[in-house]
Amino acid sequence: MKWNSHFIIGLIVMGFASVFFIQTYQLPEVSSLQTSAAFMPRMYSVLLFICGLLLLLQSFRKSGNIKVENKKLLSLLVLLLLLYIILMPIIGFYVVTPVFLFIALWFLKVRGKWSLILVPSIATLSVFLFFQYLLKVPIPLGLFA
Amino acid sequence: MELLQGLMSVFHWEVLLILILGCAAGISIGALPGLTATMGVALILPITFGMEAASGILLLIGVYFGSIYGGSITAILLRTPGTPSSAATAIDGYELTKKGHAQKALTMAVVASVIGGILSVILLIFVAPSLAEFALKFSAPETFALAFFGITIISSISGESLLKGLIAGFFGLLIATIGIDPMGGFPRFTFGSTDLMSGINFIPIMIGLFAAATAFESIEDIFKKSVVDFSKAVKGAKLTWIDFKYSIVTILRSSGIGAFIGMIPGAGGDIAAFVAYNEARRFSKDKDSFGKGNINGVAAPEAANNGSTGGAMIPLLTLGIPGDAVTAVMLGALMVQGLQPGPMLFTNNMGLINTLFAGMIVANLIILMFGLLGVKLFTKVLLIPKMILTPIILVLCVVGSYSLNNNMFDVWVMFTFGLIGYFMLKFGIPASPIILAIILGPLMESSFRRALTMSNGSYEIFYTRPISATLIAVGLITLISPFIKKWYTNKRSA
Repeated sequence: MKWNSHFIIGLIVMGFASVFFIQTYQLPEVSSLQTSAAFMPRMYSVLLFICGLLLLLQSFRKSGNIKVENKKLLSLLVLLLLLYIILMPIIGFYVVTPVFLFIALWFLKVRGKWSLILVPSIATLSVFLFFQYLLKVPIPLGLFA
Repeated sequence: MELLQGLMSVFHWEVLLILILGCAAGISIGALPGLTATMGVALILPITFGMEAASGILLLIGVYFGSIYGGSITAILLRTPGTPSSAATAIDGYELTKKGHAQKALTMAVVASVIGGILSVILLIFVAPSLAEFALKFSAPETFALAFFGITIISSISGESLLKGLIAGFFGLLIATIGIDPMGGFPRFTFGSTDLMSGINFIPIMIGLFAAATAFESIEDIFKKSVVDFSKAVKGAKLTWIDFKYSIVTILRSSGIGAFIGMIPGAGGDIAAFVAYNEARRFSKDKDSFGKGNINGVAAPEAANNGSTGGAMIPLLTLGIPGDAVTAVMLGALMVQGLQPGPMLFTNNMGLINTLFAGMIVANLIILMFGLLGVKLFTKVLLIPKMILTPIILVLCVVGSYSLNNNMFDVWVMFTFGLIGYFMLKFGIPASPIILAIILGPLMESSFRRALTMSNGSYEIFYTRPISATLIAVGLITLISPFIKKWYTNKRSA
């Protein structure tokens, strides 16, 4: 068994399809005159399962290995984004956003004083002006509500 | 001619100013991922209540037309469709940007959009009533057939691997079923969560799959100097007359496709764009270049999505039935102004109608002006160092997803699909089939089941009705053709 990407993704796809397929049995059956809610999802999950299987079988002929550069940096930034999203409803957009931008720029090796200060400020201000003021789209304020 | 009278009434500075403001607002709203044309029009709607009928409607038209064009800007430059109608434009548009041809793509986008827009308005002016009748022939079986055909386009946008495209497509179709079943009212795949009851909104999915995923991927080579040369000396950077001549047929055909699909209630610019892309590829002598930066891959969807704007106005004005989501909002605007759309509108308010027609053409010309003037400015975005641009894009993704429903859940959806989209990019699974599936899946399923209810369970209804049968046949051909092509080339090389 070659544990290459075709194999893994094929397996994931088959698993996903199976979960959905099993779930369809929780849906109510209906009389033969109507089509049940489970009909299309069942069809889709079966077809998806077959595709996943085909992909898995392809792994014996093809080998697609994924390369990721800058793994640490990427994971750090994804985690930072995660924290940003978690904290936003708690502390509010206008606090977390400049902080997020500052830290993200720092991780990305931006060191210019002007960039580090101007970019977060202008970006946050622009969102305020365009979204909240002009378009009246509410922005999460968190503690400041 | 009364149309000239309409034109005269548009060329007052107040009206022109309103159109200019509307188009500018529309283009900006369209360019921002997360803000759609429908949202733009809905947000500006209250401002029009205090205005005169003609000015108010024209403001909305400016926003509508502008935002459908605006989506192409970010689609081309950042692989981030600003609106769903530009999801197809992102495919070849971004490839062109990577080759250093962003200017060409952007110029083609605005030219194609404006031609599509103007042609559809002309269609509206001259043939509205008879076309509206055709649109009414669309019932559940036809809608199913159209949606089915739309889904088969997945085989066109799958790029190298049809299997990977199908995986994306079926995955999208499954995701689209999450939520309360529209026909039976029973929750599907909600796993007990209230957030999932109304299904997963596809805008955050689109933002995640395209914008966030691309942002994540760009971190991998963020410190490398940009390999792309943006100087004008690069061959093919600007749009030439030759490029334009090459694309004229595509633009004309796509405008027609856009206008027809726009006319069908329930089908709008997003579907029109994909169908036009598919047809452009089908009729192209260079099919394999689609997906790698074929300029027609930009011209076709952009002509079609703006073409659908005029098309959508046809049933709106003649029958009072909106052609798409935006015109549904406009229906509200018309009624607030005391205008009843339908045949009576043409007899009672011809002056207003002529002003609207003229205004629509002028709006397209204003968009042309903004677009052409803006190309140099838009390409400057690419000069912003990736280290600064990427965090900003991530913030925009978050804001855009939140602004849809003032709901953090949508932001989480965006984040999740951002990760999924990133892995899809690494592994070569195309993202567009998911979008296509999520847009069309629910439509396809509900019209399928409604059609079967209409026919009491008989499948005959699909092939005995001419429009439905034709569309299904075309869909099947689209689906099977890559297989036939492969079999044929294998046979020849044997």
